[in-house]
Amino acid sequence: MYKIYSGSTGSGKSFKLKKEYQKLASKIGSEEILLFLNSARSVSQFREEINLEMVGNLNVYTYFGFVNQQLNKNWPAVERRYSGENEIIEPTFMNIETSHFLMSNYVAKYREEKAYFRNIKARPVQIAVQLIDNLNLAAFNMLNFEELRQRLISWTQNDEERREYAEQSIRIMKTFRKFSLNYRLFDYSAAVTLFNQYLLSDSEYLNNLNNSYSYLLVDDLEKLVPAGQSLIKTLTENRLKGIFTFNESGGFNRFFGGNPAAAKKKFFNSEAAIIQLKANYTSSSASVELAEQIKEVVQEREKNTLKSKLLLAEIDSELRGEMLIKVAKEIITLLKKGTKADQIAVISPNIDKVLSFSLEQILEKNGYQLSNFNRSKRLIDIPFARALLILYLFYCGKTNIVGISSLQQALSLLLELDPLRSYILAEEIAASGMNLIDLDQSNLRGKINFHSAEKYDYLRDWLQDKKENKLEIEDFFQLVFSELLAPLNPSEEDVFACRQMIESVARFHQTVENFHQEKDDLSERYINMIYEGTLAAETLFKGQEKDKGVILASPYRFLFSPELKGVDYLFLLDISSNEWMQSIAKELVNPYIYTDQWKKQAAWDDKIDQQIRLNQLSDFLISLIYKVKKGIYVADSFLNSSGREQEGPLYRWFDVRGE
Amino acid sequence: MPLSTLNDLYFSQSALAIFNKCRRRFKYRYLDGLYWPAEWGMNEEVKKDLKQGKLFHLLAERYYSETMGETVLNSNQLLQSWLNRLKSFAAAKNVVSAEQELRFQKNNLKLLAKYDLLKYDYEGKKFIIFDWKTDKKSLTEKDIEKSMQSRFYLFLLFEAGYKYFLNRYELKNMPILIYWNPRYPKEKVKIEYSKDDFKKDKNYFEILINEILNENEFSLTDDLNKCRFCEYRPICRGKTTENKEIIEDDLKLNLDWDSVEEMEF
Repeated sequence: MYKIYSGSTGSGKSFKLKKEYQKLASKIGSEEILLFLNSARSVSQFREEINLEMVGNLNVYTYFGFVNQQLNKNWPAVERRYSGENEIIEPTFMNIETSHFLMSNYVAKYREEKAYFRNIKARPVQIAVQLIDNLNLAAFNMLNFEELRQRLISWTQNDEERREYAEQSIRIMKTFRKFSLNYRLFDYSAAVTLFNQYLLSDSEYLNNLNNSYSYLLVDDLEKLVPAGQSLIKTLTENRLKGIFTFNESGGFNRFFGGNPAAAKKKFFNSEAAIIQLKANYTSSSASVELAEQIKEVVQEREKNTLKSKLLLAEIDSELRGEMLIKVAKEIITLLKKGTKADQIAVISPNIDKVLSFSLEQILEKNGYQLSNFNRSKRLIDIPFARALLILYLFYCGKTNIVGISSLQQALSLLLELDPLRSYILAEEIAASGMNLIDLDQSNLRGKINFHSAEKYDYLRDWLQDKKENKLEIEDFFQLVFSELLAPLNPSEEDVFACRQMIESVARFHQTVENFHQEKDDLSERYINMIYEGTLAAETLFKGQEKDKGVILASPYRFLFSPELKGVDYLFLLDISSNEWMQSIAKELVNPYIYTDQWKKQAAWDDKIDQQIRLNQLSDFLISLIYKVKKGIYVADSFLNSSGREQEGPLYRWFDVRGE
Repeated sequence: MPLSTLNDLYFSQSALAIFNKCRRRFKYRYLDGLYWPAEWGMNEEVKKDLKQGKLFHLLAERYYSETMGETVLNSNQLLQSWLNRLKSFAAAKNVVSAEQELRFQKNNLKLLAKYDLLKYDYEGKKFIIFDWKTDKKSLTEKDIEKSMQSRFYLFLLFEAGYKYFLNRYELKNMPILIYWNPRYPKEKVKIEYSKDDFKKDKNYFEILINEILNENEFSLTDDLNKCRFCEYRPICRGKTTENKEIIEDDLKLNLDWDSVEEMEF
């Protein structure tokens, strides 16, 4: 038996679950409870916020965190079962960066040698991401390679070129998986597959697992991937008592393999005690009615327009820039009337630089702040971190990718030079083929000040000196940081960025050196990946304190940020943009084909695609309106930032003015 | 750009020891999140020792938690001999838990420890803490008895652990702490604990934590000798760290499995 708290977003399900956890933990000890949450951020937030006088081991995980931990603990048994022998003490788990690196290597190799994906213009890393998604989705749905192949092939629907690409994708994925198993180097899909194949199917393991806990708690059952749902089902069929939450409108992670329909089918039955939560703490009383309308209008297409007293105003413009100014003005009016900044959220599926920059500027002029939850500040954009990279490129003689402006900025920092002089110096260096020139020979000593010239000489000698030792990239970074950058009084953000850069490279190097033989090429690949934004992106702000500004986020980021409980006012922007209705299918991957629904119909056409888009949009909108208490503004422009007309249907469906 | 505030922080023995050494270092490591993993900047030999130490802790955890499948170590004779020594030194009997975490909060006191192994002594009706050391220094060369770790581990177990495990074990006597290093299998350091020790420690930790909570400046230590082995020496003193000291917390199996993944569910 298990109970399920079922309700909408903001109905207090997670709060109830947390209370149940604390009550149980104080009674029987935290060791007896296994708790699954839906993101690493939720896990760390839960750990921080636990409020008990005494607590022991916290078995709080995401599904993947749990799988990794169990494989590591029981590794000798797993390894023996799949390879017949024990070679290593513990496996290595690849993070996204490393698996992208490895898969991109294969894609590039097969393209070059066998002309794979001939007419696809994407870069290897973009193809790699789709192939990794295929592997993940198959593993999350507990499908083996043969089933993966069949589904991918049948999705091509006799289109010869697509079929060829599917076959090529399968060949590369197989090579990737074989490699992963040989080197005991696991991406998510391999980890989930091994866990299900070799641990969960073992009665001794299952018995141990069942005896380790008394309670099983799961937040947001509907977002759990089917393999996770299956684990939960297996555990509750034995002796564990279950307490779960289910969000009726929370199916917005289908892109990532979540399957709310499957969860409902699996868990809402006679074994379940369903507790419906009717109250809502983050929305207004009008939300329920509007949610119903959204289902009818967006998902079921039975009615044409959405009307609600929650819809306060519509902001329309010809140009997007004008619309953004109007939105900002409206926000400032609300702020001046006393609304707190973090009680206003601006939501758009397309958070580009124009949007964030315009809003930030106008708000700052009026003394307010913007908290951009979609901000991805690359480490390379922080001058200290960039200087680490530039010096490394000079150290290993790979200066062909150094641009004058990057070099100028690095010199400006390292030599404490003004922009003009550092530019002159950078230009001379570039003119000499990116060689660190002799200042006297090039008559530059007089042009830059004495102090900086001395620093330049020191830097040149320092690099020359280091070239005599063969240093690993992370060791070189550390030396640069300790000996050249630290004395320049870096701010905490600079120090933090350098630390992140060193950590990122050290982790990457540690994992990749297990299999990558050509070490010289490795550092260059690493640097390229940083420039491309594949590596060391978005890590800088991980765990940083939330600024108390007006919230700017995409729908997904807004709903998946555990710290954002709800707001007073919501601004839905760009509502005629088609990006509100993105397809889940890409050239080489389609999450839908891995679901149970596909098994029944095995068909994919525009109608299904359209229906999935509408379901997705409906789930997003419903979850969003359950997070707003006082009102919603919708905003739109006839032309988007690139000057193109926008034709998405959401614009037509909102009837704010009662027309 | 603080990552944690003082009031959120659970203090470990390492955090308290570091505060006593240098307040600035405490701030960088625990408040600003400028944590430099132990192996960074170490020479190859130290890195290897550190890795060996971590693997030993993992093997010990597997052994005492009775996980599936015995680790076979054909490729690592040294670790195999360490594991054999461990098994003869402390067999997997009367195990309460391996890698047992304990958090305690009362008023403004927030403490956290992770014990390598907890055993129950049925005759003595008390807990025994085991702590594994793997460094090259013999236990007899260390001033371990009065160390922050010894006092903190015993204090916290008696203060919080005894209440936490009250329903599961009959705990009538004071806990003891045993240090052991597989490199020196015949040496062990056993530390007894009395109610007087407990009272003194309680007073000591309360005063120390209040001092930390009221600290605003987090000033740099004047003792340049302490700086020589500090990971932040380049930032504070503009000089390279001579040889980093290993901090006990870095050796603990405190793996954050969710840091491996960046995907929801």
